[in-house]
Parts: sequence; C-alpha cells; structure tokens
Amino acid sequence: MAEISDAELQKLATLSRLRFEGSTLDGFRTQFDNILWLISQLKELNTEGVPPLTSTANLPSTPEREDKVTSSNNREALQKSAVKAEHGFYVVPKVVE
Amino acid sequence: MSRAIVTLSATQALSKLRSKEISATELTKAVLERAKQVQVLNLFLEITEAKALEQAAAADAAYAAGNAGTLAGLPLGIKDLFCTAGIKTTAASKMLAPFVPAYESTVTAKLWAAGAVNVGKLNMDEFAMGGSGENSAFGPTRNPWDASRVPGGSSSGSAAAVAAYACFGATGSDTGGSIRQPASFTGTVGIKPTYGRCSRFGMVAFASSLDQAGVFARTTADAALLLQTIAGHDPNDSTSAPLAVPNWVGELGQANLKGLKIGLPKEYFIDALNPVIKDAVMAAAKRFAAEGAELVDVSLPSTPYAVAAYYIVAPAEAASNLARYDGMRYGLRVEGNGLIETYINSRTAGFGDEVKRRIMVGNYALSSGYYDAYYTKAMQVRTLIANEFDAVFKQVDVLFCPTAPSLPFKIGAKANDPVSLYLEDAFTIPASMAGLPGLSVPCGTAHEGDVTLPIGLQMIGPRWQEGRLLQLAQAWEQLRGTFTTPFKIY
Repeated sequence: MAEISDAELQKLATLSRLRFEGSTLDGFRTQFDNILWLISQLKELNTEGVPPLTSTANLPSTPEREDKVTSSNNREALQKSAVKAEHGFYVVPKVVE
Repeated sequence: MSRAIVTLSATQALSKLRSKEISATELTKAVLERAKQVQVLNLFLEITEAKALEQAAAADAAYAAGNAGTLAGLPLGIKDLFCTAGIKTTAASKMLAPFVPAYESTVTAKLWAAGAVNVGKLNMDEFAMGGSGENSAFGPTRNPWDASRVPGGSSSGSAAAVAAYACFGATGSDTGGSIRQPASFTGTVGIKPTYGRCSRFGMVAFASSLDQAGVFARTTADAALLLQTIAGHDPNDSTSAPLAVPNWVGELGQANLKGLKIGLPKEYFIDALNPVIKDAVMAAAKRFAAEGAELVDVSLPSTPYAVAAYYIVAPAEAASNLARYDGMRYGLRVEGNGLIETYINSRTAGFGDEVKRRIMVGNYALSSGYYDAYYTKAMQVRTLIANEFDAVFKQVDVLFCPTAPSLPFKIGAKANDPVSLYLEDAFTIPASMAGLPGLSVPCGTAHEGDVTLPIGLQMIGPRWQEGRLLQLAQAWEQLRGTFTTPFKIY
C-alpha cells in the first residue's frame, strides 16, 4: 500500500495552505493512505504511447473575444462581497514591512 | 396547499397556467408551502419566498399580456453552486457562507428569461464533492423515500426536492455522477448532457474539464423541457460548444425501438452490483428487446480503472480551482499573524474534511516527482476510456447499465470510509471522463425491510445525442407505466 510520511504530509498541507493537527491528522492520514492505494491501481495499466486527454471539449482553439469594455466586472458591485474593502481597494494583511 | 397541484408534472402545470386554470401566484404559493413542509429533509439552504412571489406575479402579468415565456410561472429549485445575483450562493461551504454574487450564472439567467420562478437554493455536497449529500457544511440532505437514508450526491437537495414535490424541477451539476446517482437514489429523472452543451459560466467550479450542468425532473418530458431551456452556446464559457440546441421536446415520441442496438457493457454488471438492481436493469433491457430492440453484449475494458483515474483528475483540478479561496477578496477570512497564516486559518476553517482531502490528493498528484506517475497516467487512462466508448458506439446506438451499484444507504454508513463512497460512482464516472451524455430514469423499486427504495436505469449515448437518450427514456416510461415518488409528511 502506498504511504506518505508525516513530513511529506505536513509539507503538502503547508503548500495547500491547510493545517492538520492532533487527532485530525491521524484520521486524515489513514484516509489519505487509502486514497493513495486506490489511485495507485492505475500502475497496473499499460499506457505506453497513449496520449493524455486533457479535455473532451474538442475545440480547435481557445475562442477569443473582442477586447472591449462590458458591463460585467463592476468594481462596486463585486466589492459588496468583499471581506474588507476601503476606497475601492481590498484590504489585506500587511505583506511589506 | 393542494396536493393535486404540487404533484402535477411541470408540463401539466404549464398547461394549466397557459389555460389560466391556475395562476402562477397560486402555483408558487402551493409549492412554497410544500417546500416549507418538507424542509425537515434539509432540502433548501434558502427558500427565496419573496423573489419567488415577485417572479410569479411577473409571470401572471405576462400570461395576461400574452407574452409569457416557455417556463412562465414554473417553480424550480437551484443547486447552490449556480450564482444567483443578489442571492447567497454558498456551494454548501462555510467558505462561501457570506457570499452574495454580483452576477447571474448563464443557466439560471436562461431559466428566469423563460419565466421560471426560483423557489430557493438547494443543499448539496460542499463544492459538489461527494456522493451522498452528507458533505454539506449545513447538514445532510435526507432521502424523501426514507428520511434515515441519503439521497445521493452531490446534487442531493436538487434530487430530493424534486422527488418530495418541493419544486417541479431543479438544476444540478454532474462532475462524476452528481446528477445521475442522486436521480437514481430518489426515483427522479436526471440528465447530464455532453460536456460543452451547457454553459459553466457562473457555476462554482470543482473540476473544470468534467463539470457540466444538467437537470432533474419527475418525468422525461419535463427534463427535456428544462434541458432545452438551459442548453446552448455561451461566449462566456470557452468550453461551451458552438452548436444549435435541437428541439428535444418536439422530438419526444419519435423513438424507433425496432432494430435499436442496445449495448450492455459487461464491466457494469459485476459481482459488486446489488442483484436486485441488476435484475431491474436487465428486465428493462429485455422489455426493449420485446419491442424489437437488439441487446448486444459489449466490453469497455478500462472501466475498472475509471474511478482511480477520476480521483486523480478531479482532485487535481479541484486543488487548482479552490486555490482562489484565500480569504482575501470574498468568502471567509480568519485573521492570523500575517498573510500566510491568514490563508491557512481561513482555508482550514472554511473547508470541510472531504474538500481538504481532495485538495491534498490533487496537490500530491500534481507535485514534482509524482506528476507523470499519477496525473499524466490518469489523463492517458482517460484517453483509453474515451476511445473504448467511441469504438463501442460504432456497434451500438446506446448503452444501458445501472446508474449506481447499490441502493440508497443509511446516513453515516460510509462517513468514515471515503474510498467506499468513491466506488459508488463507478458506473457514472466513465461517461463523465469521456464527456458523454448520460441519463438516469427510474426502472423499478426494491425493498429493504418495510422500506421501498427506487432503482435507476442509466442510458449513455454518443456525444451530442441527448435527444436519443430523452426519446428512449420516454419510451421506457411508456413501457414501464406510471412511477411516482412518495408524497409524505415527515
């Protein structure tokens, strides 16, 4: 069975911007190992030379649209859902000393 | 509330509205009353009563003026991952609990343009991740057939509300079976169209190469009507197909069963399948054969690997899509010491366990050193799955198989075992991976003790052949006879 070390799991959590601690971590570990076991089954299958399928949309190219101003993305309307906004700007934790 | 009104089909209700036998306001009030009566099943995250009555009044005015739309006055429910302007859209997550979108999803905009009435926003598995409806941050949805059981997921509230007569139809989204499996678990008709058929604009994203909008209804004719309304090209979604929408409603009744080739894929009739479900599905196939259809045994050899491939592709896309929830612009923010800690605090408090699991699995599969072993490999398996379907559809017109391997199970039965829950999607995932249309239609019932539970027949078709599936599902309804979900007071 595929297994992940505690250090790997914690690194992955940090990179995912998540935190697991104590009993939450133990429960999560077991389930994560089970999922790794599930997805590791693919190793049985020979896929040599098979191209990957990234999308079933079958579009010849990404459609483009005219670069013109529309009524969407109205700042005032969008910022009504803002966690914190002042003078039309989002207020975020200080990142520069 | 009149039971006689809320148990009509959507098509019947619209006919009564057009003939002015009932008003949209009267119909909407009856449905709102029913919705509140069955809210003990935790169907709606919000019942939008004021909005519904406002839309109903507008529909009545439109009927009086002679310019009513095709769905004018029809009360519908909306899965809470479709953005509704000015109405909270949470995707059943604490992360989006305070989120009120500034814009409307294309799918819902089309429904309102046709005159439909919004009964409310429906419960679901958080960010559409789940197959039971138990992963909602706002409590599990319950199955109207037996309130101690799950209604399936992720579109749990959509399926259960339609089955419980709390709306005439509902929107859903299907990434790996989130419309078809709950349709099967609730005895409703659910269709996931071909990837690209409906716009994803304004749908909270889970796995973008798989997510597709669709509908629930109590009859195939109703499902055809709703799907026809929401389908079509949208320049706001780059994966939306530039194709005209066929007249699916008009084409109903045209199925020719003589000579129809129905494929029965052997990988879907395995030992793990509940024998009662197998018997019901086979009985349905044989009923078609009695009408002149030919049953053909076919094989889709990569099917047993579809779940594993899906649980790499979907979490990988989810991990990327959900990176946007950082607590900075909208949604939940839990302040910490500095930017990074605020990110971590917000995401740890905002996401439920299943969402965290998928983000972690996704980031693991995408990480350096594992990318080829997992992600690229899964995409290659996806190619095999799609190619096998293509080959089979050169031999047959449609595939018949069970929608789900088991009957609706008890709430909590699989709560600590995500992998066993993932395997519930084994029969719906392959069509999703190939982008094909799939439909679930009730094909019988089973008994567990004194409880009666529905069984779903899944029909899978070639790309863009939703019309064929709808015609065959309607033909099946005629062969099967009337099937009704229970009308209960809980």
